[in-house]
Amino acid sequence: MRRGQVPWETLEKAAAARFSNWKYKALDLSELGRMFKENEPIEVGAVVEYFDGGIVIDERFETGVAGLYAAGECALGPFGANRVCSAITEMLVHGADAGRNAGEYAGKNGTRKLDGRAFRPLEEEAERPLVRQSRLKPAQVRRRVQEMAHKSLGPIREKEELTGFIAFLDGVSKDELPHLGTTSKSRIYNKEWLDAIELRNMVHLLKTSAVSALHRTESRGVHYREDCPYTDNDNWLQENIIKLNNGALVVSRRPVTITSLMPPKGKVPFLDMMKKMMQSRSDIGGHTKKAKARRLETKVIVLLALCSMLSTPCSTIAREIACLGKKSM
Amino acid sequence: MSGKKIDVTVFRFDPSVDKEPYYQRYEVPYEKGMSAMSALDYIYLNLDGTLAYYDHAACDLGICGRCTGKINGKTGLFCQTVIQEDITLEPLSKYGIIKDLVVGKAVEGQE
Repeated sequence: MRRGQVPWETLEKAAAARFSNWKYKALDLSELGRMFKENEPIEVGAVVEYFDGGIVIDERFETGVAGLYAAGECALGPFGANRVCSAITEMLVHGADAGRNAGEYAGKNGTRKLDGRAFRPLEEEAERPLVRQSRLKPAQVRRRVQEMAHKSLGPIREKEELTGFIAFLDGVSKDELPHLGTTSKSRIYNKEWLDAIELRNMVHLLKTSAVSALHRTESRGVHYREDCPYTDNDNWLQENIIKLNNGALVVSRRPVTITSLMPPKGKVPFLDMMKKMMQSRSDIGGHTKKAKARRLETKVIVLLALCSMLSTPCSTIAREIACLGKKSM
Repeated sequence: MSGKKIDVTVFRFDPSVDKEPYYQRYEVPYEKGMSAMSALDYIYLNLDGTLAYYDHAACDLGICGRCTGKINGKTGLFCQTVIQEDITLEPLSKYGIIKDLVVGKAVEGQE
């Protein structure tokens, strides 16, 4: 896109209100400012900032496993994962409630004595990359998985791509994960060992996400399917629930709970809907001169935020999934 | 790619094995706009899987401050420091080192 007809002074003023001296945090946006000034074309694109979905919990924050509770970003919540600021409120509220409920559960059911031997296979599994003599290094495999996730599981998805990605993940699980070996056998901050352990969870969670994305044959929120560019309120006011059953991921659905505002019926073209939403929002729309100025300011801010995200290295999405993996371990 | 290479010298110390810290030099292909963090990532991925540093799971924007260290003796964020020539990377404190550039709780009163 270009600055086009928007006068440079207007844009500069709007930007200065949020990004003084073309700085965002430690990011230097001055090159972007220069490009706006010279009216050069600027490339923008959709990126991932956070990820929706999480561990299914009930109103007591209990998971499908009796006595196991989940709270915060790893659980189903309104903010998804990696909304650092918004998630803090959620974490505190969830955490307090989940902790109280877990305490009640433990009080009622007592704690079981655990046989130490039960942990041996898990320990052995975790230690395998450390004892294995192998030239297959976890870091390279991890990076490849991240790059593939970035390519196939961004906000814009498509059937063939998702199917290929699932096949790729199955290949990694079968041919690579069982052969990872670390260079150093040290147990002290061994990054390769951490990578190897996390990679298993990453691959598992990425597959879960991809299966869910493939299953949802409509577009909604941060899930845009190029091959199904409609929001389908007749068939998809539903949540996908993915369950691991005898080693296979089984998809089921449950209806979403609607409390007061009924979504419109029928199929709506996703991109048109987004455009209309942007235009009708009271804080960015309207017809007054002031509202017009505000609309422009908002557009600039959205654009700048987009551009600032663009300068982050790729693989953000896989890393976010990796965070999820760590939290749900 | 210009084919230019730079030398990145990194502080190494594994308290469980090494008696003394030492410095290791790596040759890294130069890319315009690369950060000290991208150099560390390159080394870890391609040259030496035993290197320990705080990489970025999410931030990489200079917000979280986790990658604070010394770049040519000057304190800064690895992810926000653009490098152009040979550099030396060290931990913020030489006390409380867990491994290489990873520092635990620095001992109070020391640096």
